[in-house]
Amino acid sequence: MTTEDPDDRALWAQAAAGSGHAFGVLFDRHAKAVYNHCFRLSASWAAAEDHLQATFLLAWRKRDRLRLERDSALPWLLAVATNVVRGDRRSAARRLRLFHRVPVEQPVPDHADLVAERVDDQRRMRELLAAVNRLPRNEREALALCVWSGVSYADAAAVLGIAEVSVRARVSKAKARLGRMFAEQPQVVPLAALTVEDR
Amino acid sequence: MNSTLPPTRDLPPGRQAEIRAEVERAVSARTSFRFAPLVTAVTAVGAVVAVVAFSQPWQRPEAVGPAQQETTVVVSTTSSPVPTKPVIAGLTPERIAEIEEGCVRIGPGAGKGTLYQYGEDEAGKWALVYTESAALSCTIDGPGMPYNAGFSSVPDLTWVSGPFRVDTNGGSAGGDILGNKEIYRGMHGSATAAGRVTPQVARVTFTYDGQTVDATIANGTFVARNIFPTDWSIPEAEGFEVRAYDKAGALLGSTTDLGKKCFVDPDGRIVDGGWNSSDPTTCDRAVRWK
Repeated sequence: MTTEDPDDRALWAQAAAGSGHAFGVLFDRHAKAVYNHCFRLSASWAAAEDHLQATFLLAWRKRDRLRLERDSALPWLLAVATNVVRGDRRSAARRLRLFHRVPVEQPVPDHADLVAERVDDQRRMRELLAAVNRLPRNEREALALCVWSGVSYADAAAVLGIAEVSVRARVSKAKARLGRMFAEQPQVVPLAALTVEDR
Repeated sequence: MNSTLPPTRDLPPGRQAEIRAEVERAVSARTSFRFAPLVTAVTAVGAVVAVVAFSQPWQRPEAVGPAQQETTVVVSTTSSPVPTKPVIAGLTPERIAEIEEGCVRIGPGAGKGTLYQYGEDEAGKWALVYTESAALSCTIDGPGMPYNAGFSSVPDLTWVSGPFRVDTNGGSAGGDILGNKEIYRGMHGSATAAGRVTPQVARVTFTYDGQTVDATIANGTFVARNIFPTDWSIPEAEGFEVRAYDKAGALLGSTTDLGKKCFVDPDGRIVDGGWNSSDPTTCDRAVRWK
């Protein structure tokens, strides 16, 4: 027996009781998944880092309001992340209206292949989001949770506070709409569920 | 248009540890605020604490320390942080309380123990327990004794001296060496190094008598156990090395380097290492642990 790998429920209970370290273990376990989820919603790796931090700080503030019913805290964390990104987008839109300008392409120093890959990620993700953002918000969020981040329909239903059948319907509608949008494209948005890392 | 979803990526090197540290700082600050009235300020000025790294010889088959005994100078400490409850999987709260009480009773004899790690290996069951001022490397359910603990004084649990600090170390020869009592026959020898780590530490190794093992890291602590054959004796030449690495595998520090340094808190007061003659301006910054 070792002290490694306590499950999320045990960690969450400890965190809710005030254990910063338990919360840190949850962070390590789910940071990568939340980071990638935030990127898919923002198309910016730099913003995803900020959103990751904001997500966990918000989760900490809400910790005593949530009793984790599921084995994994990830679905709930992804739902929090979705709200964080949405809130940030609203703030950005307000700033945009104020300053009447949008930085379309953030300047990124082109000093390594890694940077080039990430810049390419962002360009591709912006194109994808441009299409996905035309979906109704509830369909968009269901798609991001279940299809892009691999959360099960049941878990998504629990964190969104709706019936599982509704989640399925939203995802199905989102897929159908995107299918029509991309009908003329040689490639389509990946509609198969992806494996979620670090669950 | 390429509409393929970009691949999943790791955070840039070092960023996860940085963000985690920021989150933990924010979380700790809030916790401290919430329980601020309960925080007790502890000040110790000019105290010299001799560290006894190992338990009494009669408590072990052949209890001899693999490392040199240390002497630590504590010039001053700051307010103690509010401790957070460690996460121990697989043990009932009652069992955790038994271990904490049993290890403290056989070790320093006073203080409230908190279990930070528990495990089992070929050499038996072990636990890492901290009181407010000592680190205990405890063995459990050994022959003839339900608890046995070597312990070391820790100057101030608020601070870690660099990326990690070895708070306690010790060892036991194998049970089959000449002169050992019958009840210890068949027991493996072991050497243990244990202490605290900062969040950036992802891996800790412990080398002793030509053998290197990885530590288990949990609850902001590490425990490394080098297990030896049943006829293993403590080597004549003492000395050990503990190294800490980050997630990218970069070396953050080793006992060889850290042992030569002194450390100061944000106010510039020496909290670990060095001697009375040390100039605080030459010391490194200690890292807040809790």
